[in-house]
Amino acid sequence: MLPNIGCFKTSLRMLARNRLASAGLSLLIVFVFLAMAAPLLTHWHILHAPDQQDPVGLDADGLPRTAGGDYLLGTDNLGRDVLARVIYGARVSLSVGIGAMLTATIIGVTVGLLAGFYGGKLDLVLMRLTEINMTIPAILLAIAFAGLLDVSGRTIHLHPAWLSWTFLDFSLKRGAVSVFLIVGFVCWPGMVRVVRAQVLALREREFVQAARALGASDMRIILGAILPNLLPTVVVLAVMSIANTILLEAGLGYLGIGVPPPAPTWGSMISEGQPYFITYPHLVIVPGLAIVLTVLAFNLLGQGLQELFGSK
Amino acid sequence: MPLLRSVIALLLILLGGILPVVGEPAISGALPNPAVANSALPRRGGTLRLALPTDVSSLDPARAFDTISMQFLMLLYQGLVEYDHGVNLLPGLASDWSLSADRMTYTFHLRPGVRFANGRELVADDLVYSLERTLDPVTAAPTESYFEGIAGAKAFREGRAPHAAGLQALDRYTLTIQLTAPDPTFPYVLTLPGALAVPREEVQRWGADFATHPVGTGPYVLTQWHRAFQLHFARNPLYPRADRQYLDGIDVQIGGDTTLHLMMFERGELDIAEIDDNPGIPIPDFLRIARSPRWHNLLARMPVAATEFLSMNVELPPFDDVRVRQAMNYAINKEKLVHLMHGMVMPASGILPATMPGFNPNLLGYDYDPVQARHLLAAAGHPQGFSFKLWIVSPSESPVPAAIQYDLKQVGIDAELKPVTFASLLDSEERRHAVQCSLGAWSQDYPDPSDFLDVMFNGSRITDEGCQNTSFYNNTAVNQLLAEAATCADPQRRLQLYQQAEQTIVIDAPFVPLDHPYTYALHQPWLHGVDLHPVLYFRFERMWLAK
Amino acid sequence: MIKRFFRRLLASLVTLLGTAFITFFLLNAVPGDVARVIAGAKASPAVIQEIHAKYHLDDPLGRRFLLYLNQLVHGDLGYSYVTGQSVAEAISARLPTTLALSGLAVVIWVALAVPLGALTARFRDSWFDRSTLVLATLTLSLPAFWLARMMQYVLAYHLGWFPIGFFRRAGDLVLPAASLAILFVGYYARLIHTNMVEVLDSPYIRAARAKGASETRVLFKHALRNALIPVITILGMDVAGLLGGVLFIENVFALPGIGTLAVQSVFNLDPPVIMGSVLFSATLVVGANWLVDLLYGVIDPRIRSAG
Repeated sequence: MLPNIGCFKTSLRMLARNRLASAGLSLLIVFVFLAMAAPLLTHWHILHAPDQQDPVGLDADGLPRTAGGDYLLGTDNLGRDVLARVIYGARVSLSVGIGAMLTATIIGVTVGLLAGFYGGKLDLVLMRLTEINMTIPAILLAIAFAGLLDVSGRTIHLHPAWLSWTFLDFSLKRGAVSVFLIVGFVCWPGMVRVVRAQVLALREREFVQAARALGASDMRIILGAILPNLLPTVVVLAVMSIANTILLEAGLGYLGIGVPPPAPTWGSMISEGQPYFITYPHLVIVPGLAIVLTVLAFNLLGQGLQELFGSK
Repeated sequence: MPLLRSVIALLLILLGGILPVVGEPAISGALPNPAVANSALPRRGGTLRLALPTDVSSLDPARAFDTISMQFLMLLYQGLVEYDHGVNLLPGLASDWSLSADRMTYTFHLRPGVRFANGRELVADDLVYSLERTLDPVTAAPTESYFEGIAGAKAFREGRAPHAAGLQALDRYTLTIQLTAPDPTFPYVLTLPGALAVPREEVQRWGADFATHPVGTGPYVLTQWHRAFQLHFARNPLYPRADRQYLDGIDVQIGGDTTLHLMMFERGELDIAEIDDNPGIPIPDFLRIARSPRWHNLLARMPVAATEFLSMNVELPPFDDVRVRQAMNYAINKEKLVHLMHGMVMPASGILPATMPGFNPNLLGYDYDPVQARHLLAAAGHPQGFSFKLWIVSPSESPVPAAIQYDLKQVGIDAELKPVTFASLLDSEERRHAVQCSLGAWSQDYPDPSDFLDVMFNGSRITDEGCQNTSFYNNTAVNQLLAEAATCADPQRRLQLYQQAEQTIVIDAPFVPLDHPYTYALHQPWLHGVDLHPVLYFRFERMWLAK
Repeated sequence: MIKRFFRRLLASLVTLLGTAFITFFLLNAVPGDVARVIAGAKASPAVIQEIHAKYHLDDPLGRRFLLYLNQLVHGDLGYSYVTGQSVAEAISARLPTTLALSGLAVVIWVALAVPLGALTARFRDSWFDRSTLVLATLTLSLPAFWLARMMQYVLAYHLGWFPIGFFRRAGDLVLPAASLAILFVGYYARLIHTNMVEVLDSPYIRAARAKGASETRVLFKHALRNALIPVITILGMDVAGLLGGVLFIENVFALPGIGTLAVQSVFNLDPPVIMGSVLFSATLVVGANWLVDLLYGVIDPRIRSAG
């Protein structure tokens, strides 16, 4: 029996009882809070600005500072505060991850719904398309896409003004948008199979049959009867897929084809820190840890939700 | 529980990484110059182990023209002349040469008995063939334009003559090269890859694959080339000089980055840290290595006759206004760049590097003056600044782009970085009206100011495609000075003309000179004969191993 | 059974065709003169013209795709625009490294995951089980390149236990393979755990226990065998994920494999090599799926009769 997700309080209480999941959730809340508050923290002089090339950020030889003192996590090769860059990096990396997740979820759920609901030839075509997408290793497909956008010099430029009031505002400019679209386009096939299987099962259920008998349109059945029942599954899949999208964005950043500078992302910080790695490993370790912790948090939360919703 | 153990090990690493890095003891004092103070006698034997981040582009001398390929071309081929340990020319394939009274005809006498690696003797005809091949438009040789001064080259290129009339093999061992005008730099031109001797029969046999099946008269032969992963060179048994063949072989692994190569070097897996042209050692590790007692004496330094600069396209707004270009010059803090590069570069005020004949220490350049920059911007109608696209080569480990971006931001100029591959940067910036501004570098092909000023700033050389004058700067006065200097017989007067041209160009500011780099060579204590050459950098054929 | 194989074969071919189609159009729909990449910046217009004709660059895309397919059918993957090398040659020169690396990694992670999964299932909800779960989730959260760099830095550079980079002899692959294995071992340990829990609760095992079989025998002979069958399927379907990991590991350790070839070709803007490596990876993935299908039929007779 599917749980009634309307009982928000009960769910939350159950989630809280899962210690790992609540650890993940708390970590995420802290990260999101820090990401949102970053400009304020800078304004109050608690945090350096992420792109400030402070002369005291480098030592007398022009070398990065290691952890401690005025710079809690040290500075990078340009004397920029690593802590500030990791926190501001969270703004871009999280929004790219979430943006990619939304892209992937919209495509994945739509394809899975249509394939499962209509079956037949449409199902065959859509599933073949999904399979094609799955045969190419995600990162390979992503770099092929990214290469294209670079070659043509036609990077997709979107400036979604409506996003500017949310915490997703960040610096969602230029590169960031094309990167999340690329990652999203690559990540959707993972969702299709699960969604389709669920839809196939739901299609035969009494309330769907009943709606159909009452002459409801396909659209109405999909939106009114099937989609709400899919929601728990989709939520779990979406949370888990953020883990993947963040890793993929970091991978692209590592290969040097992620979000262009100066906007810090965790991936690009690792990429920029690489040459400093032997002498200044903190430039790679810190953003790497940020990625690991965030992905771990999303994975733990996803596992918790999965248990909560009883889906497998 | 191996899993648990590795996870714990990992956690320890992570913690260790956050803690301050324990530096190696600092040793004060200047860097020693070429540090081969070892008196060990040259020894035969052993394989030199090298690593390169990317594959060698070509081993066909008519097709290759980058510092990496050149270092390997010199193993395989020879030209009529070659450099000594500095920039003086010595006989190579030619035993001697003479110049006619009108300074337009060179006569070369070849050494008899020189053999290609396929066994055939080299004759004067081979040099005529090799030079004509470089001139031939079908070859599309990157060094072709350097040889256009040869008489009859134009007619040959345009298909109006079967041969370049200026190239004559008088007999088996005598060659004459006639020019259309006197050119004091021509002997240097003969050291370029396009003038190296190749055997006609092998070129015809392999066609385009000659690039991977090279045959020359040099001390080594290529025995294996897995594209983009490995090269191996072995001794050429037909080459006569034992002092150019100490090493049994040279093994080049391709891939990885400078960080990986340095790690391998420090663990003794490579004999030379980095043979990529500049700076020869990763910037971030430089001071640690330079101050380490272990490596201190094995690090050699040499100023490179090169200039890094921002090139501004004077045909495109906003850089069509000289005040904007001057503002750019005032806005960038070069001392900061030097600091960020830990002294691995010298600040540049002009175009010519200090090691170049004709370098002008009294040149009037631009000091760092952001206030002046703002004034000029306001005067030019950009009181709020402006934004533009700055093309940079990617991937790059240099802190320069971000530092420039920051400096420009301080005077209100928004530089949007556009990272592209090196090939696509060249392709784009050499097309007219294509690139607003790019970060680039030019290093000498031979030690003469014409190689900088004439190549990059002569307005009469502007073409719509493949134009080396990437700022498309065209000043009639400068063009005249350059034309006069090109054929000037009096060396003193010639350098004065170039200095005059340089000063005018700097005032017109089609580019922002940033720095002149040093290059470094870091090698293992058992490797000897590592003398950096000012033009060719590493000359592997002169090295030996003594473990 | 034979009908089933043919049906699967046909489906695989359609998938590969679709992959070729999509990649080809992605790579060629972009404006930009490939001829310049081939001939270099200095090439004259005549040379460019010649290259256009030679590579059919002015033909409509559909026609060029058919030409490419025709090439493929004749076993010709084309030639690199940058190096002029045959793509098939480039791939086959690099195949041994990639196969050895992934093979070694699979051996390492299976050897770790099987006992971990079995023991955590046996001692379910113990301290051991819970901490393994957390560690398994952690391995799922590691960026491949980051983990590889860390292992390289500590184990090879600082401790000197392994060589740092490149591939000269078989031993050079141990550290890269171990890094790759860590990325997968957690997932597989959990997978085996889940299956084992189910199997251990089944009447079959209860019967074995009732007959007095020893606990070790029950666990490793009866239960594990049944729990491993679904794992083989997942392993076969995971080849795409494995190749993704391989791409990063090869790049960190500078190994001459398909992964470094793919990344280089993208940076070099070399469409034939990109096409070649994508199609080759896709063939591996599809082939592995097909093989698993086949194996599964042999292992589990129920499928054979149903097919």
